[in-house]
Amino acid sequence: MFSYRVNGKNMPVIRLAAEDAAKFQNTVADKGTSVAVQEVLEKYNPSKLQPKVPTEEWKKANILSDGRALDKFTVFKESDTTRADYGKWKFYAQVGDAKMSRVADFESRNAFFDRTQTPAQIAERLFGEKLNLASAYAKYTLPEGVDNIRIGKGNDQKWQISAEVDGVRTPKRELSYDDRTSYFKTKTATSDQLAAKYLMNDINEMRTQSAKAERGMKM
Amino acid sequence: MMAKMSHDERVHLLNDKKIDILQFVMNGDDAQDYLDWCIGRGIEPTPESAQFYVDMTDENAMLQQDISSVDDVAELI
Repeated sequence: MFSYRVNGKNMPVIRLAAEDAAKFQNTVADKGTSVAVQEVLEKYNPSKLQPKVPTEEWKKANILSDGRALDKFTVFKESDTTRADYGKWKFYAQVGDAKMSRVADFESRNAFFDRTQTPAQIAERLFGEKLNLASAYAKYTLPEGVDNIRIGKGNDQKWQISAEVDGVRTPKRELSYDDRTSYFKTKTATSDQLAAKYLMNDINEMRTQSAKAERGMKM
Repeated sequence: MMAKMSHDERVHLLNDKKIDILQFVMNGDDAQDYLDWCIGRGIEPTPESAQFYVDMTDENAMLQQDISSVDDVAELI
Protein backbone atom coordinates (compact mmCIF):
# COMPACT_ATOMS: atom_id res chain seq x y z
CA MET A 1 0.00 0.00 0.00
CA PHE A 2 1.21 3.47 -0.88
CA SER A 3 -0.19 6.47 0.96
CA TYR A 4 0.80 10.07 0.34
CA ARG A 5 -0.25 13.67 0.89
CA VAL A 6 -0.71 16.56 -1.50
CA ASN A 7 -0.59 20.00 0.15
CA GLY A 8 -1.07 18.36 3.54
CA LYS A 9 -4.16 16.41 2.44
CA ASN A 10 -4.16 12.63 2.53
CA MET A 11 -4.91 11.08 -0.84
CA PRO A 12 -6.59 7.74 -1.61
CA VAL A 13 -4.30 4.81 -0.94
CA ILE A 14 -2.65 3.15 -3.92
CA ARG A 15 -2.20 -0.61 -4.05
CA LEU A 16 1.20 -1.18 -5.63
CA ALA A 17 2.06 -4.24 -7.68
CA ALA A 18 4.61 -6.41 -5.87
CA GLU A 19 7.38 -5.52 -8.32
CA ASP A 20 6.65 -1.80 -7.97
CA ALA A 21 6.71 -2.06 -4.18
CA ALA A 22 10.14 -3.71 -4.38
CA LYS A 23 11.33 -1.12 -6.89
CA PHE A 24 10.10 1.65 -4.59
CA GLN A 25 12.22 0.32 -1.72
CA ASN A 26 15.27 0.07 -3.96
CA THR A 27 14.80 3.56 -5.36
CA VAL A 28 14.40 5.02 -1.87
CA ALA A 29 17.75 3.44 -0.94
CA ASP A 30 19.52 4.47 -4.16
CA LYS A 31 18.06 7.84 -5.09
CA GLY A 32 15.99 9.02 -2.13
CA THR A 33 12.32 9.12 -1.23
CA SER A 34 11.28 12.01 -3.51
CA VAL A 35 12.52 10.23 -6.63
CA ALA A 36 10.80 7.01 -5.53
CA VAL A 37 7.52 8.81 -4.86
CA GLN A 38 7.71 10.54 -8.23
CA GLU A 39 8.19 7.20 -10.00
CA VAL A 40 5.16 5.69 -8.28
CA LEU A 41 2.92 8.66 -9.09
CA GLU A 42 4.12 8.80 -12.70
CA LYS A 43 2.90 5.25 -13.11
CA TYR A 44 -0.20 5.14 -10.89
CA ASN A 45 -1.57 8.67 -10.73
CA PRO A 46 0.31 10.90 -13.21
CA SER A 47 -2.20 13.76 -13.13
CA LYS A 48 -1.02 14.55 -9.60
CA LEU A 49 2.35 15.58 -11.12
CA GLN A 50 1.09 17.38 -14.21
CA PRO A 51 0.49 21.13 -14.41
CA LYS A 52 -3.12 22.27 -14.01
CA VAL A 53 -4.94 24.01 -16.84
CA PRO A 54 -5.63 27.59 -15.64
CA THR A 55 -9.27 28.05 -14.58
CA GLU A 56 -10.16 30.60 -17.26
CA GLU A 57 -8.56 28.50 -19.99
CA TRP A 58 -10.44 25.43 -18.74
CA LYS A 59 -13.79 27.21 -18.92
CA LYS A 60 -13.13 28.59 -22.41
CA ALA A 61 -11.47 25.53 -23.93
CA ASN A 62 -14.57 23.98 -25.45
CA ILE A 63 -13.70 23.93 -29.14
CA LEU A 64 -13.05 20.54 -30.73
CA SER A 65 -10.38 19.97 -33.39
CA ASP A 66 -12.96 20.24 -36.19
CA GLY A 67 -14.16 23.63 -34.93
CA ARG A 68 -17.41 22.45 -33.34
CA ALA A 69 -18.22 23.61 -29.82
CA LEU A 70 -18.56 21.24 -26.91
CA ASP A 71 -21.85 22.58 -25.56
CA LYS A 72 -21.91 20.57 -22.36
CA PHE A 73 -19.49 18.29 -20.57
CA THR A 74 -20.06 16.87 -17.13
CA VAL A 75 -19.45 13.87 -14.91
CA PHE A 76 -22.23 11.77 -13.43
CA LYS A 77 -22.76 8.42 -11.74
CA GLU A 78 -24.87 5.92 -13.64
CA SER A 79 -28.06 5.46 -11.63
CA ASP A 80 -29.93 3.00 -13.85
CA THR A 81 -29.79 -0.26 -11.93
CA THR A 82 -30.58 -2.30 -15.05
CA ARG A 83 -27.39 -1.20 -16.82
CA ALA A 84 -24.12 -3.12 -16.73
CA ASP A 85 -22.27 0.09 -15.88
CA TYR A 86 -24.56 0.94 -12.94
CA GLY A 87 -22.69 2.85 -10.22
CA LYS A 88 -19.78 3.85 -12.44
CA TRP A 89 -18.67 7.40 -13.04
CA LYS A 90 -19.38 8.51 -16.59
CA PHE A 91 -18.85 11.57 -18.73
CA TYR A 92 -21.71 13.20 -20.59
CA ALA A 93 -21.03 15.36 -23.63
CA GLN A 94 -23.27 17.37 -25.88
CA VAL A 95 -22.18 18.72 -29.25
CA GLY A 96 -25.04 20.37 -31.10
CA ASP A 97 -27.85 17.82 -31.17
CA ALA A 98 -25.54 14.89 -30.45
CA LYS A 99 -25.67 13.65 -26.86
CA MET A 100 -23.39 10.92 -25.64
CA SER A 101 -22.00 9.32 -22.51
CA ARG A 102 -19.46 6.71 -21.64
CA VAL A 103 -17.70 5.29 -18.63
CA ALA A 104 -14.96 7.60 -17.38
CA ASP A 105 -11.69 5.71 -17.68
CA PHE A 106 -9.05 6.15 -15.00
CA GLU A 107 -6.98 8.68 -16.95
CA SER A 108 -9.93 10.87 -17.90
CA ARG A 109 -11.40 10.79 -14.42
CA ASN A 110 -8.14 11.99 -12.91
CA ALA A 111 -7.54 14.55 -15.68
CA PHE A 112 -10.98 16.02 -14.97
CA PHE A 113 -10.55 15.96 -11.21
CA ASP A 114 -7.04 17.43 -11.27
CA ARG A 115 -7.85 19.79 -14.17
CA THR A 116 -4.83 18.64 -16.18
CA GLN A 117 -6.74 18.35 -19.47
CA THR A 118 -9.46 20.60 -20.85
CA PRO A 119 -13.01 19.30 -21.32
CA ALA A 120 -12.45 19.44 -25.10
CA GLN A 121 -9.30 17.29 -24.80
CA ILE A 122 -11.07 14.71 -22.62
CA ALA A 123 -14.16 14.68 -24.86
CA GLU A 124 -12.02 14.33 -27.98
CA ARG A 125 -10.26 11.30 -26.53
CA LEU A 126 -13.42 9.60 -25.22
CA PHE A 127 -15.90 10.51 -27.95
CA GLY A 128 -13.66 11.19 -30.96
CA GLU A 129 -15.00 8.39 -33.17
CA LYS A 130 -18.58 9.05 -32.14
CA LEU A 131 -18.05 12.68 -33.12
CA ASN A 132 -16.38 11.59 -36.40
CA LEU A 133 -13.22 13.55 -35.63
CA ALA A 134 -10.20 12.91 -37.85
CA SER A 135 -7.96 13.06 -34.78
CA ALA A 136 -9.65 9.94 -33.41
CA TYR A 137 -8.56 7.83 -36.39
CA ALA A 138 -4.94 9.02 -36.53
CA LYS A 139 -3.94 6.22 -34.14
CA TYR A 140 -4.83 3.50 -36.67
CA THR A 141 -2.01 2.64 -39.06
CA LEU A 142 -2.03 -0.21 -41.53
CA PRO A 143 1.02 -2.50 -41.73
CA GLU A 144 2.96 -2.98 -44.96
CA GLY A 145 1.68 -5.62 -47.37
CA VAL A 146 -2.03 -4.98 -46.71
CA ASP A 147 -3.90 -3.58 -49.72
CA ASN A 148 -6.96 -3.90 -51.98
CA ILE A 149 -9.25 -2.74 -49.19
CA ARG A 150 -12.92 -3.27 -49.97
CA ILE A 151 -15.79 -1.50 -48.24
CA GLY A 152 -19.21 -2.58 -49.42
CA LYS A 153 -22.55 -4.11 -48.52
CA GLY A 154 -22.70 -7.81 -47.85
CA ASN A 155 -25.56 -10.15 -48.75
CA ASP A 156 -27.20 -9.20 -45.46
CA GLN A 157 -27.14 -5.52 -46.55
CA LYS A 158 -24.66 -4.66 -43.78
CA TRP A 159 -21.60 -2.57 -44.57
CA GLN A 160 -18.40 -4.59 -44.30
CA ILE A 161 -14.67 -4.15 -44.75
CA SER A 162 -11.99 -6.59 -45.89
CA ALA A 163 -8.48 -6.37 -47.34
CA GLU A 164 -5.77 -8.52 -48.87
CA VAL A 165 -2.88 -9.57 -46.65
CA ASP A 166 0.09 -10.61 -48.75
CA GLY A 167 -2.39 -11.49 -51.52
CA VAL A 168 -4.90 -13.38 -49.34
CA ARG A 169 -8.28 -11.80 -48.48
CA THR A 170 -9.30 -11.36 -44.84
CA PRO A 171 -12.75 -12.21 -43.50
CA LYS A 172 -15.29 -9.38 -43.84
CA ARG A 173 -15.93 -7.33 -40.70
CA GLU A 174 -19.00 -5.19 -40.12
CA LEU A 175 -18.51 -1.43 -39.89
CA SER A 176 -20.20 0.53 -37.10
CA TYR A 177 -22.58 3.38 -37.81
CA ASP A 178 -20.07 5.93 -36.49
CA ASP A 179 -17.28 4.63 -38.71
CA ARG A 180 -19.51 4.54 -41.79
CA THR A 181 -20.40 8.16 -41.12
CA SER A 182 -16.72 9.05 -40.68
CA TYR A 183 -15.86 7.34 -43.97
CA PHE A 184 -18.75 8.22 -46.27
CA LYS A 185 -20.17 11.45 -44.89
CA THR A 186 -17.59 13.46 -42.95
CA LYS A 187 -14.66 11.77 -44.74
CA THR A 188 -12.58 11.98 -41.57
CA ALA A 189 -11.54 8.30 -41.67
CA THR A 190 -9.67 6.65 -44.54
CA SER A 191 -10.13 3.07 -45.73
CA ASP A 192 -6.58 2.34 -44.50
CA GLN A 193 -7.46 3.56 -41.01
CA LEU A 194 -10.69 1.55 -40.91
CA ALA A 195 -8.88 -1.54 -42.16
CA ALA A 196 -6.35 -1.11 -39.36
CA LYS A 197 -9.14 -0.66 -36.82
CA TYR A 198 -11.20 -3.68 -37.87
CA LEU A 199 -8.75 -6.13 -39.39
CA MET A 200 -5.62 -6.09 -37.21
CA ASN A 201 -6.53 -9.33 -35.44
CA ASP A 202 -7.17 -11.02 -38.78
CA ILE A 203 -3.94 -9.62 -40.25
CA ASN A 204 -1.86 -10.81 -37.31
CA GLU A 205 -3.56 -14.20 -37.28
CA MET A 206 -3.07 -14.70 -41.03
CA ARG A 207 0.59 -13.75 -40.80
CA THR A 208 1.14 -16.07 -37.84
CA GLN A 209 -0.49 -18.95 -39.74
CA SER A 210 1.53 -18.11 -42.82
CA ALA A 211 4.79 -18.08 -40.84
CA LYS A 212 3.88 -21.44 -39.23
CA ALA A 213 3.12 -22.97 -42.64
CA GLU A 214 6.43 -21.67 -43.98
CA ARG A 215 8.35 -23.19 -41.06
CA GLY A 216 6.49 -26.46 -41.59
CA MET A 217 7.50 -26.62 -45.23
CA LYS A 218 11.16 -26.08 -44.38
CA MET A 219 11.23 -29.02 -41.95
CA MET B 1 -20.92 28.36 5.46
CA MET B 2 -22.45 25.71 7.70
CA ALA B 3 -20.97 24.83 11.08
CA LYS B 4 -18.28 22.16 10.99
CA MET B 5 -18.95 18.73 12.45
CA SER B 6 -16.57 15.93 13.28
CA HIS B 7 -15.96 13.27 10.65
CA ASP B 8 -17.60 10.59 12.79
CA GLU B 9 -20.67 12.75 13.38
CA ARG B 10 -21.06 13.38 9.66
CA VAL B 11 -20.62 9.70 8.81
CA HIS B 12 -23.28 8.84 11.39
CA LEU B 13 -25.74 11.39 9.97
CA LEU B 14 -24.99 10.30 6.42
CA ASN B 15 -25.54 6.65 7.22
CA ASP B 16 -28.83 7.56 8.92
CA LYS B 17 -29.79 9.54 5.79
CA LYS B 18 -30.20 12.69 7.88
CA ILE B 19 -27.79 14.55 5.60
CA ASP B 20 -26.87 13.98 1.95
CA ILE B 21 -23.36 13.76 0.55
CA LEU B 22 -23.31 17.48 -0.31
CA GLN B 23 -24.13 18.36 3.30
CA PHE B 24 -21.54 15.81 4.41
CA VAL B 25 -18.83 17.68 2.50
CA MET B 26 -20.08 21.18 3.29
CA ASN B 27 -20.04 20.44 7.03
CA GLY B 28 -16.48 19.16 6.97
CA ASP B 29 -12.98 20.59 6.78
CA ASP B 30 -12.87 20.19 2.99
CA ALA B 31 -15.88 22.42 2.29
CA GLN B 32 -13.83 25.33 0.93
CA ASP B 33 -11.55 23.02 -1.05
CA TYR B 34 -14.63 21.42 -2.61
CA LEU B 35 -16.17 24.79 -3.47
CA ASP B 36 -12.87 25.92 -5.01
CA TRP B 37 -12.80 22.67 -6.98
CA CYS B 38 -16.30 23.38 -8.32
CA ILE B 39 -15.47 26.98 -9.19
CA GLY B 40 -12.30 25.88 -10.98
CA ARG B 41 -14.39 23.71 -13.29
CA GLY B 42 -17.47 25.88 -13.61
CA ILE B 43 -19.70 23.22 -12.07
CA GLU B 44 -22.41 23.48 -9.45
CA PRO B 45 -22.06 22.20 -5.89
CA THR B 46 -24.53 19.32 -6.08
CA PRO B 47 -24.81 15.93 -4.38
CA GLU B 48 -23.45 14.39 -7.61
CA SER B 49 -20.35 16.58 -7.81
CA ALA B 50 -19.85 16.23 -4.03
CA GLN B 51 -19.92 12.43 -4.39
CA PHE B 52 -17.33 12.62 -7.19
CA TYR B 53 -15.15 14.87 -5.04
CA VAL B 54 -15.40 12.44 -2.11
CA ASP B 55 -14.69 9.41 -4.29
CA MET B 56 -11.57 11.08 -5.68
CA THR B 57 -10.22 12.37 -2.36
CA ASP B 58 -11.29 9.91 0.30
CA GLU B 59 -8.08 8.93 2.01
CA ASN B 60 -9.65 5.67 3.14
CA ALA B 61 -10.59 4.71 -0.38
CA MET B 62 -8.39 2.49 -2.48
CA LEU B 63 -7.27 4.17 -5.65
CA GLN B 64 -8.85 1.91 -8.23
CA GLN B 65 -6.84 0.97 -11.28
CA ASP B 66 -10.06 -0.41 -12.62
CA ILE B 67 -10.91 0.51 -16.19
CA SER B 68 -8.22 -0.49 -18.60
CA SER B 69 -9.55 1.05 -21.76
CA VAL B 70 -11.77 3.85 -22.91
CA ASP B 71 -13.32 1.30 -25.24
CA ASP B 72 -14.84 -0.66 -22.35
CA VAL B 73 -18.27 0.86 -22.50
CA ALA B 74 -19.63 3.39 -24.93
CA GLU B 75 -23.12 4.22 -26.03
CA LEU B 76 -25.37 6.99 -27.19
CA ILE B 77 -27.99 8.03 -24.67
